[in-house]
Amino acid sequence: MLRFLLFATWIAAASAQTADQSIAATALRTVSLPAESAVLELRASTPAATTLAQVLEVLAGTGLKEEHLSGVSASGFVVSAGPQFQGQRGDLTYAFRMTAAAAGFRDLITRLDEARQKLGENVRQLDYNLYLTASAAAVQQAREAALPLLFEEAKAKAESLARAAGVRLGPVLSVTEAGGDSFGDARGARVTFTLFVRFGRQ
Amino acid sequence: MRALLYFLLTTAALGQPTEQSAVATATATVSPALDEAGFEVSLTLPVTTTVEQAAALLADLGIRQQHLYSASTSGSPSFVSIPSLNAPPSMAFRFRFSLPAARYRETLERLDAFSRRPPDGASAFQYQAVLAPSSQAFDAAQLPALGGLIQQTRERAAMAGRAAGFDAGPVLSVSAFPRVITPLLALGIFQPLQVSLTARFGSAPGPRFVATACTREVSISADSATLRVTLQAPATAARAEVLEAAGRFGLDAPALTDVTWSIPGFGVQPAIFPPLVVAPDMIYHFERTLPVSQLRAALDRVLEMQRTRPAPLRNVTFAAGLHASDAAFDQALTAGAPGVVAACRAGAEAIASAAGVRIGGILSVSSQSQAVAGFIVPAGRVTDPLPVYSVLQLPVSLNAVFRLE
Repeated sequence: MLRFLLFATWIAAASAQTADQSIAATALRTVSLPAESAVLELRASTPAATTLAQVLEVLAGTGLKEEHLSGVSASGFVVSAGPQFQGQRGDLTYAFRMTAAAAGFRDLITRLDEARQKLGENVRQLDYNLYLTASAAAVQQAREAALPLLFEEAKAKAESLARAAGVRLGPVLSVTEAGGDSFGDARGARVTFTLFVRFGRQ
Repeated sequence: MRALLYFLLTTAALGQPTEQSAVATATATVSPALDEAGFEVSLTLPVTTTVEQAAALLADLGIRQQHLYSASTSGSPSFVSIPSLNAPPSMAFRFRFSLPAARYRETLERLDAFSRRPPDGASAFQYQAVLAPSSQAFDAAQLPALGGLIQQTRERAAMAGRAAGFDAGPVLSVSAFPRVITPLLALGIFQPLQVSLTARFGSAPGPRFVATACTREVSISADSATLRVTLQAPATAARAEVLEAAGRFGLDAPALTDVTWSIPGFGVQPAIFPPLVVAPDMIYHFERTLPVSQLRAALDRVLEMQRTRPAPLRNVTFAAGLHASDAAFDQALTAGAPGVVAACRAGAEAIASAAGVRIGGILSVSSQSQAVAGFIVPAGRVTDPLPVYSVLQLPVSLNAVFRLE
C-alpha cells in the first residue's frame, strides 16, 4: 500500500508538472498466480543468555539456519524503587527471514506450531509472518499479458478525459510501469500491475 | 526528399515533440552481513551531573564523552519513561556507539552486570542493542543486486514500450535511493533491507543522469544548553514582584518568554474553563540559552529557588537539555558533507556501471539532513515546562544527481 501511495504521489507530481501539455491516465489490475515460494519472517524472544544455536535447536524442523538470521536486538532496564533497583534485564530478540518452496507451506505452519509447543527455558516467545509469492518467470509472463490490456484501458480513460476537455489525444509521451511484487496467502499469490501513460494533445 | 517532406509535414501536423520514454522500477531484497553492533545506553543521574562525570561512570563499558547522544531532564524517545512527581530532579544521559559484531555478546554481558550494580546517585539505567549490517556491508550486499535490477527495469520498460507502440531505447536516467538503516538507526527495527531502482529509457531530450541518496551519521559537540523554568504565582501578585524574585536566582526579565494562567488543580487550559470557581494562578515561562559550562551553576540557582520558594512563588519547575549551537551544527555538517558526497558518488558509479554507462559531474545536490524524531512529550501538568529537545548525533543525508557521460 505504501509503495502504491508513493507511486500515486509521484504520478501526481509528474502530472502536475506537465498538466498544460499532456493528458495522463493510470490503469491497474491484480492477477492471481500459482504460488512458488513461501517467505517466512520469524522473531524469537529469549533470555539474555540464550545463544543462536539454542534458538535454532528449538526451531529444528522448520528449515531455519544461521544463514537466515536477519537481525538481533537486546534491551534491558532498571529503575530505582526506593533503596532497591527493579527492572527487566537482557531480553534478546533473534529475527530470521527464509524463503522455502510453496508446496511446504502447510507443513511449515505445522512445524512452527510444534516449535511453539516446546519452547522450553531458552526461548520465551515465537512470532512469525508467512506469505506466498509467485515465481519471477510467472510474474514476468503475467506482466507481458497484462501490459497491453492496461495500456488500452489507460488510453480509453485518456480519450474520455480528452473529450471532456474538448481536445484530441496526441501520441504517447511516456509510459511508467510499477508494481509486480507478488504477495499472497494459503489461497495463492497475487500480483498488481500498474501502468501510468502520458499522452500529448492535439 | 519526398519522404523527408512527408516526415516534416507529419511532425508539424502532429505538433508534438517526438520524444518518448518508458519508466520501470525493480526491487530486490538483500541480505547483508550482520557485522556491526549498535548500542544505546541511558543513565539517569542527579540533574547537576556533568557530561564528563556521566561518561566517567560508564568508562569501563567503553563509553566516552563523544558518544553522547542527548542529555536532558526530559524523557526519552526510545526508552520506557517512568515519571515520578516526587522524584528528585535528574538528567538522563544517553550515549550511542557501535562496535564490531564480535563484541556484541560480551558488551551485553557487561551492560547487564552494570545494571546489577548501578553507581551511587543513579535512578535509572537502560540499554538497547542491535546486531545489524553496517552501511559498508549494506553497500557491499546491494552491488551484486544492481545489475539484475537494471536488467529487470530494461525488460519491463521494453515491455511497457511495446504495449504503447514504441521502442524504449537507451537508458536516460537511473534513480536508486537505498533504504539505509545503520545499526544505530535500526534499534528495535527488523525489516528486510531492500534496494529499489527506477530507470527511464527512451529518446527524450534533456540531461541524462543517475540520482541517488546516501546517509552517514555525524556527532555534534554539545556546546550549548537550554534551561526552561516555569514559576507559578497568584494572579494577584504583581509581575514586578515575580520578576524581582526570579532575578535573585539568575532569571532576569529578558528571559521571560510568556505569561499564561492556570487554575490550580485543573489539568486543562483555563481558556476553556474560565476562572469562575477559583482564582487563577499565573504561570511565568522563562528560557535561557547558555554555554554548556554555565549550566551547572544556573541549575544550582534554580534548585535553590525551588527549595526556598520565595514569595510570591507557589511552585518552581524546570527542564534542561544540552544541544549544539548553530555554529557547532553547521561545523559538523560541513565536516561531514564531503564524506557523504563521496559515498553518493561511489553509489552512483556502482549504479552506472551496472547500467553500462559512466557518470560525470554533479548536476545537483540537496541536503536532507535532519534530526531524528524528537522527544515524546510526556503528559504533564499545565505548569510543567516543555521538555528540551536534545540530540547530538544525527544522520547527514544527501540527494545527489550525477550527469551521465
